[in-house]
Formats: sequence, structure tokens, C-alpha cells
Amino acid sequence: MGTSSLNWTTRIKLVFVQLSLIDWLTVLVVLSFGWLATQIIGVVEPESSSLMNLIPLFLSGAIVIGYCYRPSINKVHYSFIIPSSVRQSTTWITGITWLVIGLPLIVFLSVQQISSEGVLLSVISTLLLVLSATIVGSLCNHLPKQWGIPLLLLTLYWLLIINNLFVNNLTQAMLSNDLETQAIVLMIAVGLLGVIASIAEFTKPWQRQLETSRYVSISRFDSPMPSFTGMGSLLIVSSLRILRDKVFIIYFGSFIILLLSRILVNNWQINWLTIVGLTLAGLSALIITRLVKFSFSFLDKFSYLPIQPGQIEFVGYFAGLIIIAAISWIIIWGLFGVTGENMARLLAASLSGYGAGFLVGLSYRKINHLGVFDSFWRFMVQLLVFILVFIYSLQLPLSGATTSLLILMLLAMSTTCYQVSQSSATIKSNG
Amino acid sequence: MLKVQDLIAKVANRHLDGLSFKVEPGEVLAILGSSDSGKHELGQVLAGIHKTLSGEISINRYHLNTGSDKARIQLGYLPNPAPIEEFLTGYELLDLIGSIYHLAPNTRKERIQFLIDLLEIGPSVYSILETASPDVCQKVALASSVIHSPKLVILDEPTQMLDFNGPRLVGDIVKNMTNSSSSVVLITDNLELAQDLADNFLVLANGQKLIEGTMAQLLNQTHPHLRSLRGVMEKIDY
Repeated sequence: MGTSSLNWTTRIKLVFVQLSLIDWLTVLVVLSFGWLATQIIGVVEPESSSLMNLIPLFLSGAIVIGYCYRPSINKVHYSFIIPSSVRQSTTWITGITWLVIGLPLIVFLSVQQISSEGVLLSVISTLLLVLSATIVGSLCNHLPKQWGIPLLLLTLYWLLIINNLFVNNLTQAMLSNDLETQAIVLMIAVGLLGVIASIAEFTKPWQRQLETSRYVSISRFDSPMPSFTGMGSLLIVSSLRILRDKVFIIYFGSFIILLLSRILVNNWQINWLTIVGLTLAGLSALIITRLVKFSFSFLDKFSYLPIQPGQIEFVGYFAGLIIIAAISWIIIWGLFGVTGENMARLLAASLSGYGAGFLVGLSYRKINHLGVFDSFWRFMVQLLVFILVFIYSLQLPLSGATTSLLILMLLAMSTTCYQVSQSSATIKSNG
Repeated sequence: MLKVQDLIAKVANRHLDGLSFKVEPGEVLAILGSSDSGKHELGQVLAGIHKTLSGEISINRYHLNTGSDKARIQLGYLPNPAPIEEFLTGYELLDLIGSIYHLAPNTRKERIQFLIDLLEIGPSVYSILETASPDVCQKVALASSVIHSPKLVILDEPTQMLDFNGPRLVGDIVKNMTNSSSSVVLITDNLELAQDLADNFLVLANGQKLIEGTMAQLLNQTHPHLRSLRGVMEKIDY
């Protein structure tokens, strides 16, 4: 017993020694966040129970433990001195405690807050948030993944506790200049970043469960099956390809600047629909051009792998569309409510960008190494898409012009989709 | 394991003409020849990148042309130059290729870790390949070609871009493969490496088989007093 006790003491000391400055900062941030959460609950729900106020503290504790004992991704970066069995046990205990006590508690409190009329809409909006965040989350690099567990707990808290207030607060924060509400929205935004990273981490085992049961060992290679897992991995890496692109960072930065300007500058005349539509169109064009480029280059470089062109095209064309659709839905829901006209406008903006971007993406196949010419014209076409979308989809009323543009873009997209599928199949069959 | 019968193919402007050979399980075949001999093109045809005009290639009893996916999954291939996705880390690329080969997540993780250790890649495997050194890129590509423990692996100039440790690391990979009864086709200009690792040799010239056999057979066919593969290659009349 004495040896065991000594070992435990030694181990705990060693853990504290191992914690770096960033670890301690994390603890500080997490505790501050918990305190801040308590304060904001007091503002949003002045009549909240003492039990509800305990939740941030519970979460803070769970977050700290979860962070310290987070599952290691690789041995090089996260080698704790504690034996892996102890670490795993602690992780399990934390997880089970959270699931058995924390989650039902939060769900219970959330349900109490949801009005009967808004239940369905709240559930849908949450599902959409989780869906889009999961998709985007699977694109993340290792860095956000390191922060996965603490951020997951925080964001679950934010999503569930103020679920029924989410849409209202988001809309109010964007349309008014109320700093308090804006602070809440910013908190949600921070929380979403957590969901982005952590849900992906947590759902990985579940996502792979089917694969694990079917492909237990290498010996099963004798009867190969279609590689659905390969497609999932392709989607992840092609999305990584987008996120690590400098152009994406420029687009993203521009959007953030627009967003912040709209929040901070009083009486700015540019409306939200224009900003969001513009961004969606650019994002659509950007995503699809990068995905098309990636799928082509991957097919060229790794043509000896047992993967079919159709699988790569799925990733390149349709997965991109799903991502855009998910993001669009969230923005439409959060900012404007679901009105037919707004939805049609943003859909037109997204699809225009997507279709035109797809056309641009085709140029990668024929014009690979033309340097300035390639980059310049690619940029110009994307700029043109921006302007067209700005003028036709957003500023003008929903008229024949907008509808025509939408039809044209849909036609262009479907035609080019067909053409590329055919050419890829032909190239593949000809070796 | 690999059986090539009367292979005729055209790759770019090079012809492969009537090639026939076999590689048994656990055996290493070195394909040698000058740069225009067609040895690299033969590797591409064996990997299924280019189709044959006639003849037959079967890998572990699966015909490459008819049952292409079944044959391809038995095969690992390191092209020359080695392909990489520059926006991914080495680990991510290995994980992707492992998943395409149907490796279960746990198996994939273990296998990647094993190869990282075997090839001495180190922490660089977690850096974006665009910024990684050519040495790391080559090691990652080498690891990706054997990540699924294929029945047959074709290595086209595996020591290219590697430092002085390259031949030793490639030797370790090859021995690891042959110990598990996998076959290896080694396409290389490094004659010392070929002599160290290969059981059989196939020398090509202008897309045709010039000479074939074990080291002893090659010596007998050229000059019995020669001791090295380099000496044999220098004596061959192209």
C-alpha cells in the first residue's frame, strides 16, 4: 500500500512538473471562462437556479481533467509520465461522469427553457449547427484538436443552455449595437470553434466502427470491398487542402473584417445579406476550384491506388456542395430567418459561385504550369463571380434576371459535371 | 506471386517487347538497365498505371487487366519520382493511403508507427510535406508503398533523395517484406544495393530482356572470374 501511495504521489508530482506554460494558461483560461459563463447566465437568465450556476464550475473541473488526461494523438507530442492504463481509466471516468451526470443535467435545464412552439426549430437549428460544425471540424489541423476536449465541453454547454436564445441573440447582436448581446454571440462563436474540432475527434471511433468490424485485419484483403473509408479520408484531406491554402485565409480574413466592421461601425449602410451573399459566393468558388484541382492532381499522382475516379469526383464536387449548403443554412437561419426570397438569393449566390468556380477549376487540367497567366485569369474569373453575384443575386430584386442567372449556373454546373465525369472515366479507361 | 507472360506494352515512346518472368513469394527481383532500357516503364505497367497491348500480368493469382482492383490491392508501388500531397503532413498522407487500402484504424495506426520507427522518419512526419525535406518526403512515400503489407511491392529507385543511410533503410524494408513472404521488385541504378538485396536479376535493353538469372548465373553468362554485379553490367554487350 505504501509503495502504491508513494507511486501515486510521485506520479501526481510528475504530472504537474510535466505541465508546460501553455497547460497552465489553459487551466487559467478555462477557469476564467467558467466564471464568465456564470456571470453571463446571470445576465441572460436572472432567475436561474443555483444548480444552473454550478454547471460552469462542474464543466470547468471536467475540462481541466479532460485536458490533462486527453487521449494522446501521438507519442512524440503528448508523452505523459503516467502509465497509459491509468490515463485511459481517468479519461473513461471523466467521460462517464460527464455523460451520466453533466449531460442529462444540462439537457434537462435546456428543455425547461425551450418554449413549446420553438422546440422543433431549436432542435433543427442545433442539429444543423452540429452537422456543419462536425463537417468543418473534420477539416481541422492537429492544433485545434489538442484543445478538443475542453472546447467540446464548453461548446456543448453553450449550445444546450442557451439553445432557445441562440437565434434571437444572434440576430439581435448582428442587427443592433448592444455590446452585451454581442458578447454572448462572440462566446457562441468561440464555442463553435470547439465543436468544430472536438466533435470530429469524439465521433471518429463511431465513424470508424463499421469499418473496424468489416476490415479487422490485413488478411481480409483477399476479398476487397469498395473503400468508403477511403472516400471519407479523401474528403478530410481535400478539405485540409482548402484550409491550408493562403487564398482561403485571405477570403476568411476578409469576411471577418467585414463582419467586425458591420458590428463595430455604427450606421454602416451595407446590409448583412450583401456581406453574407458575397462571402458565400466567394467561398463557393474557392472551395470548388480547390477541390477540383485536388481531385485531379490526386488522380494523376496516385493512379495506381485501388480507388475509382467516381469516388474522387464525389469528394471534389458533391461533398463541397454539401459543406456550402450546411454553412448557408446556418447563416440563413441565424441572420435572416427562413424567408423564401432571402433563401433564393443566397442559394443563387452560392450556386453561382459554385458553378462558376467549377468552370474555373476545369482550367487546372489543361493549364497546369502557365504561371502568371493561370493565376491572373483564375483570380479575374473569381472576381467576376463576386461582382456578378453582388449585382444580380443580392442588390436587384428577385426578378427574371436573377432567376435566369440561377438557371444558367445550374445548367453550367450540371453540364460540366457530366463532361468532367466522362473525361475522367475516359482517361482512366485508356490508362 | 508475380507472373508476367509475353508482355507487350507501349509507354510514351518506349516499347516493352515480349517480356516474361516470375517472382516467387519472399523473393527479390532486381530490374536493371540503362536509363532508356524501359525499366521504369516496366514498373509503371506492373503497377497498373499503363495498360498492356498484349500479354498477361498476374499478381497473387489476380490478373491486372481483368481484376484490376483486386490485383492492385495486393500491390505496393513506389513511383519515381515519389508522389506526395504537399498540403498534407506525412502522417496524414500515410493515414489516407492506409484507409484507401482498407486498413482498419487500429491496424493503420500501428502500421504507421512501425514504419515511422523503421524508416527513422521521426517528428518530421507531422510537418507539412511542402516544407519537409526531400529525404522525409521519400521516406513517407516509401512507407506509403508498404503500409498495407502488400504481397508484392515494386520499388522504383527507392534510395533516391535519401542520405547515406538510405540503402540500409531500404534494405530493412525489403527484408521486412520478404520475411513475411512478400515479393519485391527493385528497379534501381544502385548496383551495390541490388547485389546486396536481390535473389534474381533481370537486365533490360531497349524494352527487351537481355539477361536473367541469379548472381551465379549472371556471372557464368558473362565472365566467370567477375565478382560483382557492376563488373557484370560493364561486360554486357548492349
